[in-house]
Amino acid sequence: MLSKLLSFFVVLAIPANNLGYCIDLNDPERHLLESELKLAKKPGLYFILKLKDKRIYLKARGNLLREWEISKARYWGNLVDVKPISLTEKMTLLSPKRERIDPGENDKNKKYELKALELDDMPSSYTLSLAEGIFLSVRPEAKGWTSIFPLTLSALKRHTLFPLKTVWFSVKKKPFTSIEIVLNDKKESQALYWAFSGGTECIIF
Amino acid sequence: MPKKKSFVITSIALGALLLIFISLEIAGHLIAFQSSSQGKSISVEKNPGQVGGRATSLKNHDLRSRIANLSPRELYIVIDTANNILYLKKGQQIIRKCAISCGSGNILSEPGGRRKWIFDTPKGEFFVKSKIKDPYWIKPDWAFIEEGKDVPKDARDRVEADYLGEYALGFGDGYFIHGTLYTRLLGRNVTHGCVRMGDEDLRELYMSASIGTKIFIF
Repeated sequence: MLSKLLSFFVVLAIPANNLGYCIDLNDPERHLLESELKLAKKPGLYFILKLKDKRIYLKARGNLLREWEISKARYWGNLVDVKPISLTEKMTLLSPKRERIDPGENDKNKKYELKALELDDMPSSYTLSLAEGIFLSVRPEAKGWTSIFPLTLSALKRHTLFPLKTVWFSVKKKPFTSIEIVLNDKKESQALYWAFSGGTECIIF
Repeated sequence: MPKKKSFVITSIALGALLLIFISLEIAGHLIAFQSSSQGKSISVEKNPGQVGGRATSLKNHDLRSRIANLSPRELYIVIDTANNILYLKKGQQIIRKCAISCGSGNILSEPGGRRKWIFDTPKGEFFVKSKIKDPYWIKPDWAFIEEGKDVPKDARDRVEADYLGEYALGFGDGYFIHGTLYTRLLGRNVTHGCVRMGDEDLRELYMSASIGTKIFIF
């Protein structure tokens, strides 16, 4: 009885951002390197999310192309195996819209107007849906009073939606993992959205 | 009296809500705790000096070397399409960093709706397939459609000189790294998928890169 009570309090004391669960403890380094070798042998870009180091690496052929610093990371749900997982969908409230060119509109006599889909048009808060029921929610560090709405939304997700989903998927015996990543600023978050494209593979460590 | 009653009801409602929140949190933690302790064996390397520890360390070292060996040893090109920057690199050392223009991401549909083009710079791994001095632009169909003109039947009507700058480096599927007349737009996403560069930077890139030089675009 006492041990049950004790374990209950231990569970209570574990914060949501304890990332120790994410990692397969059976020689995780080797799992990571083996998985990376698989990806590095193939042409194409891949991501490594090193949650404990608070870093996201974009690589190709084992070569580091870009790196993001994670300011905060939390997770809910099942363990994530250290293996390549592909991106299935980028989900956001307002997806960036591509401009349509009307044939003949770029008449040389008309004043030139730049129409393009650029980094500033990318969302800064979004969810990346990965295979095997893994969801990566990304948002920038909240700054100023305008961040009240996204902060409230994030808190609601953290304290209601994610725990509820964890329970629901567990009852349904389906895999579910939700990882929330907070990046240092808006531009970094937008650049990550830009860099992730459909089918991109990543390893979560 | 009704004020007191409503206060009690509100307090009960808030308390119930708080209880639901806490229950959910605890349930979530318990499930995570259970899943973390089930089916995963935890092996702790107690003494790295022992044979097992050394073998693991050697294996990891071997894996690291195999990954590192896949990286290009010679010069390679990295293109950041979000920030419109091209890096000429060797290892992790940046040899040259230049402002470029990448694809606009715009969509052009042929009147009648038969064909559609999305003007993105492709992402992934490529290599320099061709190096051309004083290139001519063989205008593709979309260039005429965009201008609202008929696509010519005679191939000679597609040729345009002095449009791509002094040099062009092809990396497949009609995509080139080339010069531009619109240098004020360097740093913006304005192209039809090709990569535009300033004259000086292009000359340097042309001289440094050879056929087979790797290009990583993200």
